[in-house]
This record gives sequence, C-alpha cells and structure tokens, in this order.
Amino acid sequence: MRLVIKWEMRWNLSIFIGIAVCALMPGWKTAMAEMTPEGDLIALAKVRFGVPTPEESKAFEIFFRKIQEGEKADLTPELDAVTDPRDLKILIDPAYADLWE
Amino acid sequence: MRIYGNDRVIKAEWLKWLCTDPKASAKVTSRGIELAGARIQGKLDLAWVRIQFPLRTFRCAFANDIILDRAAVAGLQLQSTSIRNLNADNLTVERDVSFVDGFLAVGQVWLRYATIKGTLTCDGGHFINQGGIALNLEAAKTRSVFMRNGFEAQGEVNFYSAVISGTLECDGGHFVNPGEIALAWRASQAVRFFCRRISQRLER
Repeated sequence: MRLVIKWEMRWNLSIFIGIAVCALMPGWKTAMAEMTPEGDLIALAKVRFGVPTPEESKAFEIFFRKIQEGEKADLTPELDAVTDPRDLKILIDPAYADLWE
Repeated sequence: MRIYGNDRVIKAEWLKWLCTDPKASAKVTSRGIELAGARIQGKLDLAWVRIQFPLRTFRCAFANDIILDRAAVAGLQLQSTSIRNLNADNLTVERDVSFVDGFLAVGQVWLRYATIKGTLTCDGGHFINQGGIALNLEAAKTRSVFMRNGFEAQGEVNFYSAVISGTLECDGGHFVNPGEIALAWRASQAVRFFCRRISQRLER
C-alpha cells in the first residue's frame, strides 16, 4: 500500500515537472534565440559574407553592431592627436575619401 | 596611406543586404541606417527595394553610383556627403529628402517622377554636372523645395512638370549653366516661389 502511494507521488511529481517545463519552454526559446548567433546582426552578417578580413574587420563590427543598437556607425578616426590642419581636413572631408582606404 | 585609415570602408553589398534580407532588416531599428565618416565602396543598387527605415549619412563618400529607381524609403538624408550619380526615378520617400551642408554630387542626380511626401532640402548642396542636367526633378511631386544658403548647381536644374505643394525657395542659391538653361521651370506648379541671385538664364 505504502509502495503504491510513493509511486503515485513520484508520478504526480513527474507530471508537474513536465507541465512546468512545457510552460516555460516558449520564453526560454525566445531568450535563447536572442543569445545565440542567429539573434545577432554581426553573426548573421558573418553567415552571409563570411568572416571579414583583418582590414575590414573593424568597420564590419562597428557597422553592424551600431545599426542593431540603433546608433550612428561612426568610422571617423580619433582626431585628438592630429595636429596638422591638412591631415585633419583629409580625415574628415569626404572629398579626400580616396585616401581613406 | 595607413595614417588616414584603411578601416573606414563599408561595402555597398552590406548596405544592400540590410535593406533587402528580411532577417537582417528586422534587426534594424526605426532609426534606420546612420553612417558617418565612411567610404562606401561599390555600386549601391536598391532599385525596386522597399526600405522600411531611413538612410542617413554624414561626412561619407560614395565611391560609386547609387541606384534607387522605383524604390521606396522612409527617409533619405545625405549630409556633407559626396556622391557620383544618383539614379532615383520614381522613388517614393515617406518623409524628407536632404542633400545638405556641403553635399556634393559630381554627376547626375535624377529624381524624375519621384514622390517626396516631406520636403526636399538642398541647402548648401553642390550639384555638379557641367553641360548636362545636374538635378532632374521632372514630374516629381514634393512639398516644399529649399535650395538656399550656398546651394550651387553647375548644370541644369530641371523642374519640368514638377508639382510642389509648398514653397520653392532658392534665396542665396547659385544656378550656373553657361550658355544654357540653368533652371527649367516650364509647366511646373508651386504654391510660393522665392528665388533671387540666380546666375545665367532662367526659364519660367
């Protein structure tokens, strides 16, 4: 008799755990989708274009990350250390963009 | 030229993929694509593409042509940006179009039959296509058009059959097309018209 009750309790516990897992599954799936590479624009871009070369890696990462974050992807280099006005002009004026590559 | 940065190049195909791939587009926020200090390499062909978000650039350079024929976009802002040709016939823009603050087009900017539901602002923009049509707005529909504060066109600006439901303001703009029509305005409509200091010949 005691054995039957113990078995029933175990069975009920299993059913409860099963129901709980089923209830939590959709939210868990959504959270995992956000965390896995499929939820990340950079990862999607790497699937589409392959791993960027070392030369294009920085622009690639900044571009896709900032776009996903809803921010401006600014590739202007650090200008604080630039003292020559000519260099400064070349760095910020798109007319000199041929020198940016 | 390492000191000027070789890591500022954005491939046109990256931009196109963001605008055309449903999975990628879904990751773009309502702020759209906002890019600064970049050189966009390769022809950006977005013909017939419906883009749900705005495209904005600041101090960028498009090394090759931009194609937006029959495309639809939420907004288009090219500020202090240099481009070559922009082919955007039949383009539909849900809000404003801006070619401002030192924008430079060396080639043709064609917006024939375009529908701009906001304003077209070209203040401080430079449109250079000597001997040809620099800015073609034939049969375009827009609210107001602003070509002020240093606007310069070298080549014809064509408004033939354009419909402007607001104001056309050109004060301080320069329309230069030696020996040819600088501003073609035949059969166009505008509610208000303010234009002074126009160089060369004005047809109205």
